[in-house]
Amino acid sequence: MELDDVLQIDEALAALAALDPLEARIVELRYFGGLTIEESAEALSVSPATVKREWRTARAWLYRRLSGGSSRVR
Amino acid sequence: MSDERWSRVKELFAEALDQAPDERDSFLARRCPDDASLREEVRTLLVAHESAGTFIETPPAPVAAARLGEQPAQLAGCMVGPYRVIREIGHGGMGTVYLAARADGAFEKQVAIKVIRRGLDTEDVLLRFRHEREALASLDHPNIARLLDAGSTSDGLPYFVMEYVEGTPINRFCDERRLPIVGRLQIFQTVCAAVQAAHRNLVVHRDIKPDNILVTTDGVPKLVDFGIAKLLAPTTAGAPETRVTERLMTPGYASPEQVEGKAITTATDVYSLGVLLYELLTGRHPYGRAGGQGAVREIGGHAPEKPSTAVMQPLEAAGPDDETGPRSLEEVSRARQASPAALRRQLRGDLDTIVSVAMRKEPQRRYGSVEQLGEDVRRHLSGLPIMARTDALGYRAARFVARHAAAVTAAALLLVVLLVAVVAIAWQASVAAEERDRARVESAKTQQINTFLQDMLRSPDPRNQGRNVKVVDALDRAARRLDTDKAENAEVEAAIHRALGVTYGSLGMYDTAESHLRVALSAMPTGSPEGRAEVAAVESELADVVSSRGDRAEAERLYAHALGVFDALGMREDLRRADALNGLGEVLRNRGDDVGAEAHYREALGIRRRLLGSRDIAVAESLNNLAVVMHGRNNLAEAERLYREALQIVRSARGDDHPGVAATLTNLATVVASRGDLAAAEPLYREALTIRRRILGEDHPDVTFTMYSYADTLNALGRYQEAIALCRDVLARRGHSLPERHPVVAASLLVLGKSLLEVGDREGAEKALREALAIRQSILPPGHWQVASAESALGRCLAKQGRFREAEPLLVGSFERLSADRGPSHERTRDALKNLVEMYEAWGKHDTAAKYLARQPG
Repeated sequence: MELDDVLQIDEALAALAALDPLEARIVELRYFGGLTIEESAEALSVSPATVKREWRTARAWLYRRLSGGSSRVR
Repeated sequence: MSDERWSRVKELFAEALDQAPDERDSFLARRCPDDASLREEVRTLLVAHESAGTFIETPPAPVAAARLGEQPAQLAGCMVGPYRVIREIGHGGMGTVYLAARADGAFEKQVAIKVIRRGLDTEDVLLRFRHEREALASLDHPNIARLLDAGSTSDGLPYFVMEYVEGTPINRFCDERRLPIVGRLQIFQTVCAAVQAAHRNLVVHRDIKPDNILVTTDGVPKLVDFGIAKLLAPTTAGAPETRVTERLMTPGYASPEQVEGKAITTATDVYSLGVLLYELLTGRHPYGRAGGQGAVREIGGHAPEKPSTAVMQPLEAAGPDDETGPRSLEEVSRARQASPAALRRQLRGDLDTIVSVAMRKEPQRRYGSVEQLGEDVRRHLSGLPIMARTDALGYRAARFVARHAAAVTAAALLLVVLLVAVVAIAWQASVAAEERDRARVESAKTQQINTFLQDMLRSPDPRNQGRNVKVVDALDRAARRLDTDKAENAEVEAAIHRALGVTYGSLGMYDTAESHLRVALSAMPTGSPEGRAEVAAVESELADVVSSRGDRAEAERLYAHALGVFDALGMREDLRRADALNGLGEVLRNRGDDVGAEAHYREALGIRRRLLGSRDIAVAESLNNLAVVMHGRNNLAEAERLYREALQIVRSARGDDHPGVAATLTNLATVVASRGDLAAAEPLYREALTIRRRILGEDHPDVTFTMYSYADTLNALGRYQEAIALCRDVLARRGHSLPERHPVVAASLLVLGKSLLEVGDREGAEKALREALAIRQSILPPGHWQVASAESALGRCLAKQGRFREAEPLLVGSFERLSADRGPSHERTRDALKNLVEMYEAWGKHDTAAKYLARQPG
């Protein structure tokens, strides 16, 4: 992973935070903090099922954003 | 994008993922036929999901390396603070638990240390770690693993140290010892008592299960990992074998609301205890095996099989990941020393009911508290009818009042008032947050409600004696029931913490009170003048608590700050300011600054009289305090007059069984005694002590103080043995309900010493008097007259032993200081003079004695 990539992710994360603070927090914990699903669930006082669900959505959203926009299909 | 739309997107995204990939488009078309852009939004997310591969699945390299390199066992053999780590005994999300021992102590006691995991020390986590520590610190119960210490490792990782419990999980313990049903119920009761104790400290366990209840070889159950589940995941801290990694919550023991992610309350613990009881009674789990996913699905569904019928069924085949437990019906019955048929008889009826009520789906239909659950178990064991019936218990105050409107007792009224008042306070808090203009009007109302509430709480219904803590239970329950908006949450919670803090303070539980008030302070709004005035009021309340605990310096600082705020806001004619003035006056008086104290008390009295009228109890408080100052200044006539006026007001406002009555009685007794009329003083003390014992409970600091005052009078009356007994009683409270170096400890030691001297125990007397002097010297400013008083008493003791050379400087010095500070006519000065003269006479220095005798006031 290049530093550039990490910075890009961080910037996208800021955008995500404006839309969905919980999801952004989950990404922070899992990606930057290296926490597992369970650990993140504990940290945020939510169930692991919630974390899984939100994590899935957040990942998709971030990936889409970093792939260059919502209208293109790769 | 709006929140709603985004929620919709997420929902559709999740549902679409449940469909087969090639059916997703048609699924979307079905689900939102009219919104093309919404469909497109979801579709592109789905595409991203499929293409993402390992995108952000693993942290960037540095983090991953750190995690991989982090072996929990690294700490083995290392030092954590003064402890040497032996080995790891469990790890989980937030941290790791180690077995350790003190490296320096002569007594090698083993402890469990929980260290927070590196990389997790973000602000939130640290805050919660600290909360856990505080929650644990407030729990002091023989059946709860105690918090011993806390600190940071050399790397800066926070840790805390807990009692290491070596024992067996409760279900295995019962099986190994083949405890019959009765024995199991008894041990279960002990567990309930422990959980209830924690609930009183507002700590909910959230993960009660056999692994978290270890029983020592002596048969003492101990709860481990308390409160942890509320903030962090549990890690077991005991048992000889290695523990497995824990999960967030053990599915088998999770209550329906936990599984659904809803609010957790003390009722959650009731549920888990119900499951535990089920297992202890029947040898099996209510929903099949404890660990399974099937259990999770069942919990929200139908009720489990009754224990009495379940106990007759064969057990399910054990799976590969099952916990240890009985494998056959035969084992179950052997472990309970009864055949299945006999077990069925024992469990049928009451025990079936108790378990089913505890395990109800709806939290509010379960036992209202763990205490009630334990109580019903007790009743069953005693052959009494149980309280639970198969239908709703209805222990909530509101329901209780509605059903028994005609026969409402004071207790129920109190609960209703609490609910109303807490809601009102909370509402006020939220209003204050929004409407700055209406602040003045609202504040008067809030003041009234606050005063009302606090007054109600300070004078618990005497018919509820010994149940003061139930008042707090009710407040706690009411607090939990408040359904508040997310936005207003902080202020409302602050109001509740404030109410709780004041209540605990009035019950003498100062440490708990302080933590609540500090939480309240940190969360109160300061945007408006009224908001800042309220903050100042809470500061003043905090100062009250801190002052009662003996920490006068901090109290003074807080009072002064609060008063500064009121002055800055121009709120001089304000009852809250009067409270702060009153409190500061008290501190000044204790410091010996009578002039300052009087000024503050008079000002407070003036404000209260003007705003509340002359029959108000707050006025009585001011009168009482002013009288104390007069008393200290030896203006006995004035003091007595003020006390009697105060007593009359309190008695007419509150009846005879009120703490205010007891306080004033005590003070009046002291004055009357100072006047020399000990015979009249004694019954006053006795009444005060009786009242306080009755309404405050044995351990309340005010009871302790009254005991000491009474002992002092008894000593003066020549009833030395009684005085000695009372003093010893007071001193026995040191370390738990009485801080080690509290002024009352010093005063009691002084009386004890004096009495011991009179009955001939010179050594004992000297020891007590020296200790009293030492304490006073350490807590009072140098030259304080009370130090002199203690010196004089010690001097007399030495003189009685013929140690004149040692005694002389003490007696002379103390007399001179008392004479200068309190005046020649003050009771203590007279005593000191008497001691001095006696010493010289005994020494044979009659001229010197005569010289001093001449200084005796007329």
